[in-house]
Amino acid sequence: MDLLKLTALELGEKIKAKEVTVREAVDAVIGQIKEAESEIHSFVTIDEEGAYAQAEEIQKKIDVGELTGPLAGVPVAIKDNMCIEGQLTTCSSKILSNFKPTYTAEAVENLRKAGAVIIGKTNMDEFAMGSTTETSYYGPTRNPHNTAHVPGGSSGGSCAAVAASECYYALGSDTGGSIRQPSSFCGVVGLKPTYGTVSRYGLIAYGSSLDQIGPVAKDVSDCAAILETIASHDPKDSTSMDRDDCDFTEALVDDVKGLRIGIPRDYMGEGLDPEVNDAVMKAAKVLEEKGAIVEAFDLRLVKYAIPAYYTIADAEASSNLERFDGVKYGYRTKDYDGLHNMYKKTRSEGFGPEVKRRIMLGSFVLSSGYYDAYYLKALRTKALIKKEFDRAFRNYDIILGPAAPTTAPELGKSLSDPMKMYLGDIYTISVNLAGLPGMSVPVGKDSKGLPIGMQLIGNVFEEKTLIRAAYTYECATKKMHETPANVGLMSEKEVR
Amino acid sequence: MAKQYETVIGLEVHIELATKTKIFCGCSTEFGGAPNTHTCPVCTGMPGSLPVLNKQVVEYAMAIGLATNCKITQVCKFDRKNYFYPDNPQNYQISQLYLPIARDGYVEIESGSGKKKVRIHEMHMEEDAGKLVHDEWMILHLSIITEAVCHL
Amino acid sequence: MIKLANKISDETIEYVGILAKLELSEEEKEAAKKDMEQMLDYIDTLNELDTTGIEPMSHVFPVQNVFREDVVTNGDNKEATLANAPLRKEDSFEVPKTIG
Repeated sequence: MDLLKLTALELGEKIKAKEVTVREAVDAVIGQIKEAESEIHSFVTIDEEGAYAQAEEIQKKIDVGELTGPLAGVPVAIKDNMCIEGQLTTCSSKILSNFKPTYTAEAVENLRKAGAVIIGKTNMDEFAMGSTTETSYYGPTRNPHNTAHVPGGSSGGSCAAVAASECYYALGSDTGGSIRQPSSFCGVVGLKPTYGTVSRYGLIAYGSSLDQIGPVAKDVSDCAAILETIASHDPKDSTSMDRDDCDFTEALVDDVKGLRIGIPRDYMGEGLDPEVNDAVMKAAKVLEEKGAIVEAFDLRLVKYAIPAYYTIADAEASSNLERFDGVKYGYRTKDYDGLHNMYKKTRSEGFGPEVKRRIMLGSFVLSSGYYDAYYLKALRTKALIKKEFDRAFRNYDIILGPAAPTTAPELGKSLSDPMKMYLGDIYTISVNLAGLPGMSVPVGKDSKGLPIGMQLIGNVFEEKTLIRAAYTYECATKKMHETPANVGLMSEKEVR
Repeated sequence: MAKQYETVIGLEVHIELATKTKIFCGCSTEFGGAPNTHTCPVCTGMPGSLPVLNKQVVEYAMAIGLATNCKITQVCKFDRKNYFYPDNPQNYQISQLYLPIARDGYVEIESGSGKKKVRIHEMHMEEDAGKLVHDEWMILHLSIITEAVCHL
Repeated sequence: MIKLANKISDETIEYVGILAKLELSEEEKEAAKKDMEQMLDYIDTLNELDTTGIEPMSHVFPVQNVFREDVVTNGDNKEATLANAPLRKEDSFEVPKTIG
């Protein structure tokens, strides 16, 4: 299936050159979805009818020269925590299992304006709370590279869909690593931009001071083009930045001469899988051979990031999720006795155990008597962590390390020990606390065939530096680690 | 021997500001609309909606603060008061707890025993709860809290 | 293995349940207690950090004075607002009795 092997930009070019129609592109992904979905389960909703209707409309606009952008006509999948008007938007939760927003998220609207064809909504950990996509009300997604393993989370569906060639790219969201970690587990490129770069309007909030929407793509060029399309200043989002440097594709340059790369010693020690360590160090070597200056350094306060993050994120989540009460939308319990009983039953029945766990912790740390000791303490820690990164970026342009301490764990092995699961976020979490951009790039596979990703962290607003380094790495390795999964129509066993 | 009690009174006054739109969204504040007509995803707490502050609210609040001899807080912020009730769509009220817009003012009044200063502890901006019968979600609000100063 | 220093009482779990508007079974309450104790012990490691003089930081870089003009931009959105109502009575959301 050659059409499925194309990247988003390559497909966009072929559509522009009239070598491929938008309808044919939709045929290709729908065909792959039909073959692979029963195994992978990336999607909550597949909108086949809607996709073909969009395809027709977009083809017309391309034909008359109204849509000329590089992603026009390219099918995309959207994580199910981003509202799309008239489309089921569930956050993979029972409590929103019947919710159809009457408005569309700004980031998705930006894609629409660029001519994207929205194929469906992808599976996720419930309300983005999780690292394996196993807390979904709709059942887990499986890693397309080895279906006995998780795809990571919480954007597991988006990353699996791209890896399984069920779409050409996807949007994910990242609060503590939810784009970068599953991207590394699924062997795709994922980017979380600087906080405020992409509007959060229409993104169902988890941790408001940490959430960002970002691209999940087959390669770095696609990633840059998608980010360029979704980034915008949105007056409907008070935290939206007005940046004048969103021409991210300008950074697709094969050159890292003199780039200062720091590898934190704290990242590369105990707890890191040796195969992951190897692959990441090899990748650093590639960049060094291309002229980057690579050295180890001490990034302090690493161990405090996780407790600070879970205090802040859970506190914010407990407040953000209060609106789910069965009054205005979503699930409402059938039998109740008065208002407060209705609230309690609706929420207890509608939320899964991980969500309840985090809401309870969040409510506790915000409650009077504990607010100072826990919540404010965590916010002070956050300030210190940011200071630490400021110090590091005086000496380095990029901080390089693994995206996760291991490759994807097996299904069913993570949820029984939540603390252990939380510790897996060690590399990604501090990036959200400090509002920095971070990118995951595939750098190899382990002996089980599971992908390994390296994480590149930049200073605020330095997405272009990350993109340049990642692109250089891709050129040097001829994209050998960016291979789609052997699943469905892409399976080598198939003879077509 | 009868006990002597001194009456001490403090007031919390809620003022609805005469802006054209609500505090955090562009819905009209016009009175008397049919239920739920002047609503939008923001003031009805829809998932993914975000508040954006009405500039006029800040200007009016500062004006009232200055008119009552308050100190205007140079850096103020909003906080959430979390509680569950159907007139409160997000089940939290956006208010100002720690850094209200104005503080430490006074108003002079005539009393039986001459001129008196009613000290104003603080003024803060907040969104008002809706009505359970018909919609008035998110009309904005200025809360004035006096100190306990009326001795009768 | 961290020695559990935080002990969550039954009252605390009840209280947290009220704050979070969640109804937990006895089993869930026990599990919640253990979970919270473990998490809070872990969060206690933050006390190793000296944060005197450090302001709590909500937002990483200041985005100040973001306003909107006092101009009506929304019209009659009644149908959209009520579109997902679990229970609708004419033009309102119907909820259980709030008093009594």
